[in-house]
Amino acid sequence: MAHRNQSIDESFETINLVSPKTIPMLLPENWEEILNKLSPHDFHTAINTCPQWRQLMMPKRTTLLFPLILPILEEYLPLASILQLRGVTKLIKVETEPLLKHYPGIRPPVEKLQHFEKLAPLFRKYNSDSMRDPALYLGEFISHMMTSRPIPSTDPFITGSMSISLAGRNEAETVRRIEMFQTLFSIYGSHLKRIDVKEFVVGGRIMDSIISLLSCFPNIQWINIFGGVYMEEEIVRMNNLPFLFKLEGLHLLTVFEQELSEFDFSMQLITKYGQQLKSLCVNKLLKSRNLGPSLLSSLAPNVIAFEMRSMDPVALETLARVSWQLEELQLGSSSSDARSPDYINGFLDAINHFENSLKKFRFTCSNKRRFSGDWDVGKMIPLRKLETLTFHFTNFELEWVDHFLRISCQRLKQLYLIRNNELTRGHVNSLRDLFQILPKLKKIVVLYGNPQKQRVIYPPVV
Amino acid sequence: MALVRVISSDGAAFLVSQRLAKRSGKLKTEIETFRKSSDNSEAQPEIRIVTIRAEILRLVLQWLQQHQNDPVLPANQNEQDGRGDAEMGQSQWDRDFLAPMDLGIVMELILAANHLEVKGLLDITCKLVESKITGRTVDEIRTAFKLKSDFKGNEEEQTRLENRWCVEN
Repeated sequence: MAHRNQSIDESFETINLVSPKTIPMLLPENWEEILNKLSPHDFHTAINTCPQWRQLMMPKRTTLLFPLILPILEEYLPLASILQLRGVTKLIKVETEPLLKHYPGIRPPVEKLQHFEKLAPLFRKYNSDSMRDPALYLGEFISHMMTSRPIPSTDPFITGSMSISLAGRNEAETVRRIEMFQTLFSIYGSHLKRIDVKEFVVGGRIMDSIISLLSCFPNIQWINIFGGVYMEEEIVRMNNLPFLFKLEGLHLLTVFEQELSEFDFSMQLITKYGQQLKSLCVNKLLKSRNLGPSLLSSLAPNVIAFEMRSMDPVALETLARVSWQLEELQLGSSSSDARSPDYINGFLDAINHFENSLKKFRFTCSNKRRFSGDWDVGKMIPLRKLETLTFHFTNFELEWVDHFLRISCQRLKQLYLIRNNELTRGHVNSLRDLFQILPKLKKIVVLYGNPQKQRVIYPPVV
Repeated sequence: MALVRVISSDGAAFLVSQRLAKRSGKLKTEIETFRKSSDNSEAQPEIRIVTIRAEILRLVLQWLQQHQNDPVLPANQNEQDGRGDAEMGQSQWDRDFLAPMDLGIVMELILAANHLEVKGLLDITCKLVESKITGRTVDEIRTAFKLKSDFKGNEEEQTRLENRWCVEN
């Protein structure tokens, strides 16, 4: 096609377009009927097709382009504005739902807690009349929310996600709290897709509580269980674990007083739900010699995302032989000394095992002394699909890290560094050098404890 | 001066310097890909942007031309918050540039800036739209964006109730 060159400053009206030769053969109202039914993406394609169509579609432009720009606008809009947009049109409401999922958990802002009565219609909607004393439960429910960690305030009915704490100040309060949650979730638990259960310290009741809570979530997709359990007696058999057909993610970061209890607790849940899991996170589970790679592969054969917070040579050996096609892997080193050759070789064996599938890898090690031993560069191999690497690592400047990036990360697109201390100018310059070494690298993001300080380093423009 | 032909979805071609074009992440990648695949190092790259029409492409290039001597935004982001600081970066020229545009054009510019990876333009256009949403009621947003409610029956009331504890004072 021949094109006439235009200067940028030349007014658009004088441009002699060589555009598609489509002529609307229908009446404008017929075209409007057809074009109105286009999805936002098709609408955007259509307005780029020819001036005649564009003319016809002009009045609908803001309505239909709005959903397309929403995901781009997200980082500029406060949550309250995104919630407000839900009420503007149906199309916008549909498009805001995925954005709201980025705000897990619940914590109404303090100033809103003055207006308890505003919650009443919401609870009535979910048949709260059946509760013994709605006002009492409501008060307790909200006061509980005040103790949650500060996270963006969202409504679990909208996000389908909630974070709860089972621990009260004393046993009586804990029991009351569990009863409250059982009552609440028996009413609206079916709306939740993700639940974070944390801070529980009770003894034998914990198993009964978890079983009874889980049965309230028929649509749950993701369960995170955090917190400590301190109990002398052995873990009871959880024979009555309910079927949760939609469950895909199980994160078990529970710290038990006795490691054997932790193993028993995690194994019961994995035995029940392992076949359907795609994402699994464990604390020390793989350290046990009782769980070898074969058993783990057969209990949870479909895992594609795995996180291990506390690794050791035994756990790494299991990971290096499990028959998973992992796409995401997170490894953390919390207490062991990782300078021994066994440890370092095990670490590389585990990562190399997923050389053809791993797309995202995150490594956390906050102690300077660890992972500073002698690394066998010859054991490092290219990870063919690795695109995103996150290092939460104090001494990123170590020689082995440099080798690892050059050899194993040739297809890396994004590098995230989580740091406690600020980068010096020298650090920034050496990071910029990575753009010369890694041909596909598009950006380096440096994250600090304070998210406001996040810094993005892009390749220098020629 | 090395040039590149950038062609809009409706066939209008813009001849711009490669230095200017490379301030767009997308065009920079395209030029480099062309260089690698071309035997003739003197050949002029031709890049077709099928999702951006001439009027919008001209606006993007005009903005790039005005800002061609600015520091490249991503590498010079605000060190305090790490994000592109649209307020700091918005000049009187930017305000005059955006002033006559209706929201439909601004939305097309956002999509174009996002596609072409022009961070500075994306920031100022998104900030403009954000200023017309934040702190407004549903009715005010509908008026500003010329949107018509299409909720049926009690759907709208239902949504309002769901939003109530987070949104209303």
